[in-house]
Amino acid sequence: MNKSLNISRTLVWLGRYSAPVALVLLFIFGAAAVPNFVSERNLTAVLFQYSVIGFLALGQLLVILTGGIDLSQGSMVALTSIVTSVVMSRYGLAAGVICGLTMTTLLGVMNGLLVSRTKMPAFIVTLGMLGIARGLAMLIANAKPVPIKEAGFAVIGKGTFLGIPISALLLAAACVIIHYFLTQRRLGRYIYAVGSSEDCTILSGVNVQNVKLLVYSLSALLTAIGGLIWSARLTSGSPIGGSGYEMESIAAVVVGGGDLFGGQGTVLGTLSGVLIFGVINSMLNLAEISPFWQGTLKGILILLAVSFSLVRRPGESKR
Amino acid sequence: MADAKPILKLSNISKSFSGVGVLKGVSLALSPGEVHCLLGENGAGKSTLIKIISGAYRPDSGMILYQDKEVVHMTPRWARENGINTIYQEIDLVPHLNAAENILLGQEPLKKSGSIDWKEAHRLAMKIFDDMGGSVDMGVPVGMLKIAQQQMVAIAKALSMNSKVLILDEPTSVFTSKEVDLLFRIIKDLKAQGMAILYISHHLEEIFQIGDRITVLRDGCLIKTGAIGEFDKVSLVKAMVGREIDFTQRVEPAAKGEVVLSVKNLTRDGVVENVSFELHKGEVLGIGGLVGAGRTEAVRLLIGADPVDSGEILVKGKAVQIKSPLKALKLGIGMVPESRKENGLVGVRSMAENAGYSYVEVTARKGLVNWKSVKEKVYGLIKKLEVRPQNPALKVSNLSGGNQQKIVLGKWLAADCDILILDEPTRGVDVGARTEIYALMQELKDNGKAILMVSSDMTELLTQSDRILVMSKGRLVSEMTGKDATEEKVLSHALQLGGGVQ
Repeated sequence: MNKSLNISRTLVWLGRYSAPVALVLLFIFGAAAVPNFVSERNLTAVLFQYSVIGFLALGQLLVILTGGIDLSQGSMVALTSIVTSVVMSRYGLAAGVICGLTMTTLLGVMNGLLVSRTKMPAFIVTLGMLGIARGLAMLIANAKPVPIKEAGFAVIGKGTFLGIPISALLLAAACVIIHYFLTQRRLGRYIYAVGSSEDCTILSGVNVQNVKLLVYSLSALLTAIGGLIWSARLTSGSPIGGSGYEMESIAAVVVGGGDLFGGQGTVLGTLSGVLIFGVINSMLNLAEISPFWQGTLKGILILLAVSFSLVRRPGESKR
Repeated sequence: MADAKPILKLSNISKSFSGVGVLKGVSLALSPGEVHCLLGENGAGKSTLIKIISGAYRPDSGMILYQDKEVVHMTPRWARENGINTIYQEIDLVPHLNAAENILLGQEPLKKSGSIDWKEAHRLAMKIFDDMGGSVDMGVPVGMLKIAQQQMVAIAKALSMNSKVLILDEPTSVFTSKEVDLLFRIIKDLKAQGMAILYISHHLEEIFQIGDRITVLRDGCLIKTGAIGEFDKVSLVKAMVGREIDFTQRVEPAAKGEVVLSVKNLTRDGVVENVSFELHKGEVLGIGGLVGAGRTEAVRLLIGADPVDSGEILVKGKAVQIKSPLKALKLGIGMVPESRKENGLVGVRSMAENAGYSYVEVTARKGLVNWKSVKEKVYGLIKKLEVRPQNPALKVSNLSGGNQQKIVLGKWLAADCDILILDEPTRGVDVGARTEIYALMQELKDNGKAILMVSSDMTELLTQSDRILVMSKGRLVSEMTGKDATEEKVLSHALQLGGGVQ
């Protein structure tokens, strides 16, 4: 019995920390084998590039923990950038930011209402929203990029503080807040409970519908923040940007130990998942390996992570 | 102790499902500080009664009094919030959360800041376990704990909710004897603290060890209720049996043909132990026993649905390794599973397709399906089986239970199996279709097929089998001819009374 106990504990530990450990090992390998990998320029470049995906992955984590999925994130990045840039060009910085965040979050609330109040599966609801958000972005922008002239806005995309990209600092703050929320607040724990066993959670007196509404709304809000950073980096809004980003965020959650069936996943793991892709990407670039290998490697990594997560899923332990 | 005023009183509870009465005017009173045991054969109505008490089903008629107040609209949530907790065999816990979180889910202690006070949460959970005298690992998700430990967590959760009534549905079926001892100590403590406990079990030994009162159900009717002292094992079995059986339907025993299937010491660790038997051509071999005796688990081994740990299977005298249902099919073994919706049919596809699936496997040459041949075969079958309506394109989910079952049977007829395993062939099937299914089984028998039938329906088992095997706790405990079998005989073997009741 003690043996089985140790195995369980080991599995729990692996589920939680295998992604961070893998990240550290990758980093050490990169430092030893890839020239110029550990340079300020390269590392800040990775952070600049991947903090947008980081925000999306945090949102995706919340949704996946409940057993759902959010496919509308990529289009929402585009919509946020368009609404922000268009409003900003007429009414100034603050109005642009507020409108961009609000518009996208409202679509997230729609996602949440549809998933929690109807029997439509999250996959379909958010697939529909993917089309709606992209279409709205195209309509508002007339399918053309919209330049951003507010110099102050670019800071969140391009600025640094003590040599660290401000976007990465924002992401770090978001990670701390979400981690606190998931581990220390009732609502955070209910997110896990819903994804693990919805029936039992309902019977324990938790309002499951509102938990679901919350995660889709938060996913959209976090995506909108990612969208702001993305447009600040480009200093323009683009109606075609962000496509396929939802796949990257899902991949990061899964590689970070998240379970697509819900109930399992951590902020630390997800953040590691994002950075694992960032580090691999940068190493391949530096080693001048064909970018097509990146897609292939990413795919292999996802399959490995998922097959591994099947081994440690609780609830399927032998009698 | 049992003289205390009842906390929960059911009077004249009736419930039927699609016209079939499952409970007929059952009354039950539960008092604080007593362990009330509920007994009855498979299908006697125990589960339905529990589900009514826990709010999962609404009774068609009758009254529920809880703490002297009538409860009109009982829901699972209301029951929980008011101190009625049920611990089912399939435990409802949140598998990814740890024991403390499960116990306190929805009532986590908070710090002033509104964060969860984890220290306090662990202290509370530990205290409940200390009071119970058990312990579990709080550091892992409960889904990774053993079933017995999960059950402890479920009980602890019920206690944390200030339960007044605790319903335990076959709690010990997966326990080791040490775990049973611990559970009984917990039950005795709870009893002393004034908890009313409804205890469902097939193990008569346990009932005499722990019970204060006994209520026996049979065919949905209350047969007898009384203090434990009024019963002994013999009188209990007598009260449980006595179902009216129409023996005019009893089949004539077939002449024994050659042995087509021979099983030697078949074992799946912890589930099926050392099962040996022979199945002859042209006979129906029934397997009786209580739910959880390992019957389904045993036949699943024969079609390769679960891995065999040790033992031998011989088909027509040849030792075989059956690693998958497809392999079984190629050896001529087909199975109609217990739950049609889960294992037997693809609901959204048409009748024709479903009936054809197994045949497709057999006829597919070089990976190509001969749809024409499949169609002809299936149309012929649907006609022969008198499936109504006779429209092969109809989705299976739109058919009645009986007709669905005919399609499942048809699926295996199409595949030309010599050995057919039927697990609960008429569960949820109306009387008319039942007769037709029996006729079909008879016809299969006459055509030289061998049928292995698992049945919890005593009438079916006694009337349709040429021979009967009885299983208990994963072992084969008895074999008898269909002619000699009586309900009492089967039941006393199933309850492992050593055949003392005749």
